[in-house]
Amino acid sequence: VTPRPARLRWAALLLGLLALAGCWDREEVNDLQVVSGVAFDAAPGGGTQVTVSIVLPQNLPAAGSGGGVGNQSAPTAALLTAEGPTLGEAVERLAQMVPGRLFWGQTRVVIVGEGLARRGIEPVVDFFLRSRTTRLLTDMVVTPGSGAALLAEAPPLRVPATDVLFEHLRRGQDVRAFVYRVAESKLTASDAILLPRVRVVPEAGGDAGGSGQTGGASQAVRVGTFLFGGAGIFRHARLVGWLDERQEVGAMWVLGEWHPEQVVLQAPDGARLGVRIQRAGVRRSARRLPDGRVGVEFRVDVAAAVHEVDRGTPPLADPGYVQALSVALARGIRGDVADALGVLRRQDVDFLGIGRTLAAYQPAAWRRLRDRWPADLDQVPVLVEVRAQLHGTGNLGWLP
Amino acid sequence: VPPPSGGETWRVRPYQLALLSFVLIAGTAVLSLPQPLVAYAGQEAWLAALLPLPVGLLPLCLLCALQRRRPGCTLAGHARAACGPLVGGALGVVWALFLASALPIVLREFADLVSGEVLPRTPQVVVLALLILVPTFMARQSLEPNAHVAGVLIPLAAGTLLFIFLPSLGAARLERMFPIAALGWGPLLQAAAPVAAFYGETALLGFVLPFCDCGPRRAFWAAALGLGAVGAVLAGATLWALLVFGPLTAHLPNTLFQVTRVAGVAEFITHLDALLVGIWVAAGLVKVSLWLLCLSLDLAQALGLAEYRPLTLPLAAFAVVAGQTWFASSAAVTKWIEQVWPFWGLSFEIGVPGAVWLATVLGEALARRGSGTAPPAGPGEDAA
Repeated sequence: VTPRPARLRWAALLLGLLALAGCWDREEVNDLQVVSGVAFDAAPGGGTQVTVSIVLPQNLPAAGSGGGVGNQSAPTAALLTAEGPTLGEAVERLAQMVPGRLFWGQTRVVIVGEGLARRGIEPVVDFFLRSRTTRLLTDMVVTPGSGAALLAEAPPLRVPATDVLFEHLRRGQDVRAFVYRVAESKLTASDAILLPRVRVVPEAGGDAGGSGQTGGASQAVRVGTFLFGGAGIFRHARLVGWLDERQEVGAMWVLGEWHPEQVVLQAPDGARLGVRIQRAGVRRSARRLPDGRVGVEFRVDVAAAVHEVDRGTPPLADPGYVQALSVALARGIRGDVADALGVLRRQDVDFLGIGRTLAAYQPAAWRRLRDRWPADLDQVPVLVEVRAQLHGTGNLGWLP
Repeated sequence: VPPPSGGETWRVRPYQLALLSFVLIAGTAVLSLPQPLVAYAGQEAWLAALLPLPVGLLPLCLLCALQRRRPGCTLAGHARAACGPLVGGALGVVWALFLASALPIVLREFADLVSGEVLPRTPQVVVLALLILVPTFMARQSLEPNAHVAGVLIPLAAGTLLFIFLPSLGAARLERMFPIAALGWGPLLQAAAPVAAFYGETALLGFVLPFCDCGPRRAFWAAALGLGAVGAVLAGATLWALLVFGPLTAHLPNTLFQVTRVAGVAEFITHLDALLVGIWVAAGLVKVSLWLLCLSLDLAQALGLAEYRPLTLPLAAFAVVAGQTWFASSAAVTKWIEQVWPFWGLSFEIGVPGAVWLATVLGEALARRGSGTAPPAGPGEDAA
């Protein structure tokens, strides 16, 4: 008879053989087709068209070459398109077009064409939340035309379109809508969200590049043929309208997630200055007002510094003048926010999260309002208090 | 009634008891509960995680009261001593049936996590078999390896959790946790029910307390500390998920792993979920091993065996088969935990130790009436 410990060892050995039965989940890096960006468009007949930008690693500059070595004319990404009656089937057809597996873990940008956006982006969000490998911090953008066309653009410096989109969004000059935030917005009291807008314009035409101008006509930011600025308004996960550049900036101040990097300020004496925003925050609350109504209050705090003097010779050494600039900046921000609020009230879409703030801080009042929200947006006063302070004027005090 | 440890004497220090108490519950509670907590109690879910802590203390009180009377006895030993070999053995078998009904579910929860997050194409029975392999050998060794492994893994897991979660701080928004105390008691109690059943798992410490090298009072506080830590971690993890995902938390299974999907260090270190799965499964092995050990000890003692080890392999095989066949999908497991486990778990976790304690107290009263003297204090009782 085999001694007991020996039998145990045999049993353990046999059990261990289970691990040799094959690796069902083996994934070789060489077999992965890395998706860096994806565009979803409406296809004729109610279907969905999916276009992916797949990284071509063999055409990327070698590590340590400084980007100068390699086939300069070879594309660094390839586009593939497939259509299907549902998003899942379109993705499945795409998967059949490539050797190996589509890998979604490096997808940085999701572009939604206007047609699909108006139909509803729930399937897109569902796909990204449900998948095992996707990142929930993937940016979503909306384009007035075709998402596939945007992905096919060839921006300058041989940088793939998805990289241009991602790097711009990362700078915080537009609102950002991560996939999970879009999903979350559907469950909140407001049920609305903004997605940044990206357009394609011909090389010669379109708006000039520049910074957002607070208190005046804001400008879109142009990178190659991409024009950034403005936002799509989504309610119930459907595109219902657009914000222009200034309205978008106004919304960003109040949403508090991101803020413009730089704004152009028109000084009281006619001088024009570029002001860099160093820090911006918002405190959102709801309280009962002296007249008995419940109102929402946004307190925006901004710290900024003069970045450039574009026109005029402002006396920046004069503290009184700098204070006046601060007041002008605060006034401009209030104007931006008022613009955004105007759209909100006209369209009855609560993309600033007023209902959510009410639900959080005045739940009793919210219980009375929620059944008719956002139709009752008009009944809720919104107070906007802006405290802006210019802390620095740069290293140069005066230039003749 | 000596425990069926094959004549070996096991020793567990009070801090190890606290760690085992933590692992025993937290391994699956922190994994499974944030989603149903938020589904029922919304932004107040983290309060619902703290509410049922006293339920976890109740079995501990009963077990420590039993330890005072018969130090060194397991729960099954107390049952045999208080009710006799027949009725006491039957109580032990009832307890074993309860443990045998829960062990496959514990195993299945870990297997669902591994299958869902890491090995989707690997047959689940293989995952289950691999997950029970190490716990079986750990359980066969004794209680002490479990205590040592817990001592290594818990600080490691805590460090990993912080490393993973701190980068997600940027996604947290305070507004998502308001309003507080707006829902009333109904949703809070509803959310607290499954949590209470998890906290009630302290009843399994009836097979660990006898080996603690301190008095019942100190052992009670050590175990209570572990339970308190579970409550704090569960409440903290639920709150964290809420601050990041808001109401979406109620729709995200394995919530902690979803948090890793929004965590990244400087766009460079991403996909931290693999790290969390690794550390979680390692800690889960201790939990499965403890459950298997308790089940084997209890069944051996209820059947009057002197050695528990021959039972470990058959019970492990049973857990794999049951874990594979009892539930058709992970959704069925979640539903069972939410709707059946609170009643099923609590009735045994409180009912069995309660019945043994009652039998012991009644036996003492009857004996006192018969002899007319008070019973002597147990030698394990603290001076405090």
